[in-house]
Amino acid sequence: MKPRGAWFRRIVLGLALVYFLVPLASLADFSVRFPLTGKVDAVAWQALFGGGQSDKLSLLREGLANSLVMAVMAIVISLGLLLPTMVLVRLRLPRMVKVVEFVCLLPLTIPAVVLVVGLAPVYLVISTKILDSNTIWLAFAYVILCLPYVYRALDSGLRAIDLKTLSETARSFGASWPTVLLRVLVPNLRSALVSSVFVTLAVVLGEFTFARMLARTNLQTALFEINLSDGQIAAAVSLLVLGGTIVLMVALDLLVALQERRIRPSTRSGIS
Amino acid sequence: MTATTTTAGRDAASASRPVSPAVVNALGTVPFFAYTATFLVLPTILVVAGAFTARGGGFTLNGFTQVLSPRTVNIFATSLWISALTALIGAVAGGVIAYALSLSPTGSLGRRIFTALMSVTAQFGGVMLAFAFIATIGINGLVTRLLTPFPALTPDPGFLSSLGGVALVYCYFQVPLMVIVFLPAVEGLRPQWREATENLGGTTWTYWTRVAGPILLPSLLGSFLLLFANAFSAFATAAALISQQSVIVPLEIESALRNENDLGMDAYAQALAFGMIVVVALVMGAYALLMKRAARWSQ
Amino acid sequence: MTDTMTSAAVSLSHLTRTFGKVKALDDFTLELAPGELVALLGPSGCGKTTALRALAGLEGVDSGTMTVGGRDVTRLPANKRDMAMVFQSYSLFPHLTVEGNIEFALGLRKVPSRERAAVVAHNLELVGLGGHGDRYPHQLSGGQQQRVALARALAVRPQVLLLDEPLSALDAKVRVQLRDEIRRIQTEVGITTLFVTHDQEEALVVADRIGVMESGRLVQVGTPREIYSHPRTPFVADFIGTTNALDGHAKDGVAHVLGQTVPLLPGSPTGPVTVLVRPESITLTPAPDGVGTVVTTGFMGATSRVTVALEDGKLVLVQLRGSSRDGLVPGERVALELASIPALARQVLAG
Repeated sequence: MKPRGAWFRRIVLGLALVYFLVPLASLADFSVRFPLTGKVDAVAWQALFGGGQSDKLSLLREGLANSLVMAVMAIVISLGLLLPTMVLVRLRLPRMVKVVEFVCLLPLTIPAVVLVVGLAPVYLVISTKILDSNTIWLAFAYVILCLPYVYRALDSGLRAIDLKTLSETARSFGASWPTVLLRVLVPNLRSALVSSVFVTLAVVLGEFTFARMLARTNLQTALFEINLSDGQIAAAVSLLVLGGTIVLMVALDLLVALQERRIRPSTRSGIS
Repeated sequence: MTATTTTAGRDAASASRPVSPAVVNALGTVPFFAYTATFLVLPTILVVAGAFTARGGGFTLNGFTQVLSPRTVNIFATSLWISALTALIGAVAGGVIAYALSLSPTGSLGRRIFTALMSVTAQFGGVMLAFAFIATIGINGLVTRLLTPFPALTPDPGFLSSLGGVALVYCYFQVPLMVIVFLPAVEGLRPQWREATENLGGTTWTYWTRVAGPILLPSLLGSFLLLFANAFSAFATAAALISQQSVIVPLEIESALRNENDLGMDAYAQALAFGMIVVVALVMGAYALLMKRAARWSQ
Repeated sequence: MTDTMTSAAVSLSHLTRTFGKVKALDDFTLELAPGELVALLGPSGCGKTTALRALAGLEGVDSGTMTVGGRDVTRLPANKRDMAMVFQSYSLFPHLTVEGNIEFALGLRKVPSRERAAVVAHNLELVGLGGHGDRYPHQLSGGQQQRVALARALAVRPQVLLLDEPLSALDAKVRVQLRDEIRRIQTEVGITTLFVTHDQEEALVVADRIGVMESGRLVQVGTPREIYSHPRTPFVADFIGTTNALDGHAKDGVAHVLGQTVPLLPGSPTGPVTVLVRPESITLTPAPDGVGTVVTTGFMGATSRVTVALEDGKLVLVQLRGSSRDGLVPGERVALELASIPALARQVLAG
């Protein structure tokens, strides 16, 4: 086959790449340049990694710690909630599959900024009557934000395996349901689970709306505050998080692709 | 157990068991539904109900009266057109990129990396993205400094906190979102359709206007609507760029929520949120219809 | 309504086409008489589809010429070649109805719009889909979709009809049905047709002549009967039908196999050879001192298949008429009798 429009393709994709990478390069540049004089220094990076002490840094550390704890909580809750439910409805309640899907995809159609208006009274009750006003309880709401992505990852994972046969085989050998779930299904859903974990991590680390509106401290609200006084540190941390996310996600995708190739070696021939 | 066919037999069989398996199965879904009811359905209901509830607990239309005030209507209008504008730019640019991407060899490393990059950046709305653009075309931004020798091209220092600036930053996640949602449709174009068109005597123009164009149209419109809803819902990016006044609905919701205890602000935040639900629900409904049609053709 | 089309002679001469290091077409020469159906047959990767696509103009050639009705079309773009093609699958436009698909094609060929409805109806009738005009492709079965694709191709009254494995995506039963119908319609319409397939049975049933291809070259062209009973190379003999490879010794145009003599086809070598014998050229008779032992027997309706093990353990497949299997049971000793039908022999491969 002749390469149709090879030039067109290269120019378009090249320009797009520049557009998407320039802001990241700018972040790097910004983080090492003192705004008023334009002098290049590594003050921000030294402060971040040199173990310095200041109000700014402790705010940042608090936000980061909260976000990480919440990410772990959101991962545990969303997988613990969704995986057994999805397996159950697929095997035993086929009519509920659509209902569960609808509920899981619902957060895509309800803007976070709308949801938070309704979450405010819910969290008022949680912080005064049930738990306390600790930031980490926001993780409950973050589970909802991650629900569509976790659902889609698990859904495609479950589609790829023959759930019914796998579980019936295991059951016929005497496995209990927890054993089926943990020893048979989980190993077969590994890449779906890994991508759920990464997506949840990315969503929670990038979340701003809920924390801002409910006046809690997470990574993003901390960055927001710090940026008002020290743009360099905010830029350095943003670069780390954005760059880290890109590297993580691209690596994950390549990993999945490699696995697929191992299972189904693609035969490519131009002629027949 | 022997098969029982009479009604009496069946009743006896089920009565002898403590719980029927159907009930056990249904019970298994309780945690999921209880959780989503608490953190998803209840808040949504609270928004809708709250839009009609006065501080004392009685019924009120005060929130909607305020939403219909010229100032708020204006904010809604701004939100709508900025969403439409960035969705349009995103649809056009993202559509072209998706097509260019579909021309690259399937399964090649470059294509995979580019696609993965798009799916990450599509989620990049937020505070950090705003910082990145401040670092690019803000007062001390990289591009601003590079362009200093050409005053005509230098971005205005206030540009980023204007609506135009917000729109530009939105495009950063709108374009890749378009690439991700539109790529499957472009990849679904079968080479046989182009070859059949040529074989029957059609030109490239015929192919695009009468075959590929009409086939892609539902996906194209659907993707536009998805982008529209995406921009319309975005909050963090705008919050980090614009600090002075509430120019779009999400910012107005934030300030309404903050001033909830002021007199005369009864149900205002909820009514604004309700308005957003209505807009997004309409858009996503149309989106679902269009995608259904697109899926039917792609069989 | 008489339906004689302006069918044209097609000549492909010395076509060459390489993809990287692979020669998809290697000095490919083939003539099609007006109204003739020629099937290109070969394993996947042999270049048969490349030959068809080259004629359609969808694939370029490195050298060689193609003429249709005496006109040189080698450098003509696909949309100026006046041919119509039926693809393996998915070639119907999904956003148009059955009628819309055919009308679209007619519009491209500048058929006046008032004539189109009649042409559409006539061609749908021809492929047995009258009354299905308002359906969309996704509402049709695979077989029906291919019928529509055929109707669309015929509607534009092309000089040449190109069929690119049109049946290979279909279920076995539909495949047989549509195969016979393609032949009926092609004969009725009398259009010059090039039919590409990897299914030898399909080629044998449908074609006036078959061209067998192997790695870009046409190894033999002939009527189905010629190809089957006078294969020119062992590759052709192996690819068309089933053969048993029996050890023998060739001399003076005959081979000595299993203590019997078999006439050899021209081109067979002499000395120690492998003789390629068709399963239906062997008959079995129960004999306690026979050289074979029955291993399995299988009833296939009009015929039966019996596997026989020779003394050296080699298995031989035998095809018998319906009832002649009666009495044969696994383990029984049998004598093999070879019919005196000319067979092809090949040199014994070293090692």
